[in-house]
Amino acid sequence: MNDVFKALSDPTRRRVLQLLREQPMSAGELSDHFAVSKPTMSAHFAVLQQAGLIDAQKSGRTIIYRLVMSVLEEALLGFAQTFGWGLESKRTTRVNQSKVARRPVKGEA
Amino acid sequence: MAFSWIRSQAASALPILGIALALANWNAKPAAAWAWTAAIAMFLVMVAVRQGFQFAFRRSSKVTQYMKHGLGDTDSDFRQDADVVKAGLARTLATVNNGVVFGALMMIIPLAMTLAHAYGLVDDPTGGRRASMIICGAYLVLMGNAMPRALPPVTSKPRLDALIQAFHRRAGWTWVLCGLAFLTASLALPIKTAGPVSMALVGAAMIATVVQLLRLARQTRQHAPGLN
Repeated sequence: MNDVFKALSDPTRRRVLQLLREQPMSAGELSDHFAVSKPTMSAHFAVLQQAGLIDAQKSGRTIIYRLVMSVLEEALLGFAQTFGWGLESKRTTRVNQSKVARRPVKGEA
Repeated sequence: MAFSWIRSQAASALPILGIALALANWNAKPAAAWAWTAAIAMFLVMVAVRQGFQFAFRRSSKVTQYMKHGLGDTDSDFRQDADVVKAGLARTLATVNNGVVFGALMMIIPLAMTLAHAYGLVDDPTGGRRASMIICGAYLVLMGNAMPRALPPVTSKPRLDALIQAFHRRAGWTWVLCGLAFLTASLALPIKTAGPVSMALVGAAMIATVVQLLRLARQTRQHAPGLN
């Protein structure tokens, strides 16, 4: 349950869940909705997957993500969205993002 | 891991406890012998079903072990298949254990309440029925809660996947709300009213699910005519 709260505390991850609520999407389609780097998005997907909120399925060369939230988890998501959980963690996410951006990407160096 | 161990232990212990309670009730109220016999028979069926599945699981585990190790490292696809088969069997056994635990609890609590009433420990004779209704409501909540997670594998048609996902989500909410209302009715209403009200709630949830299913079938035909 701790993983679920951790996953829901971040606004980007909540937005990912909201997008997946509409339909399953590929990693690329989801990344197009956010102005963050791909490694950051991958980290968000990993957190959501670890919490058991999303499920990844390989289809050819793409990974399809879909929502596997229970009703209770969905209610928690709604609650977090309404009351704006994770305002504190937003700052942490921004710091993490800048750390990721500073890290040299393989092959670019 | 700890939860599955507790569930497995409970699934083996609860039917035995149930048989003991039914025998104690038989001793306290010999006039209702047929009811206690039926209860014992139900518990024996639970034990038999669980043992049967466990036996099948053990045998299949040996087969999958052979599939994994008996053939060496030559066929990795075959090894992966063995893992999938084993995971599927473990899930089936977990479902059987869940069923046995809930079924046994639904019978054990009324039996315990009846026994307590027979020995003058409890004043309310309807306590057993109320308790089993509360368990039934809790079961509906848990079942509905897990429903949106039980999705079939992703297809090549994203629209169809979205429709199936939406159906599972709506059905899950329907059953969770029905279970919560069922629980509230069992707790708050007089037992004579709670029975019909809870049945009406389950009926309404079933109708809502069937309507959602029909809508899904209609939308599936519209969006993916080649599937039928």
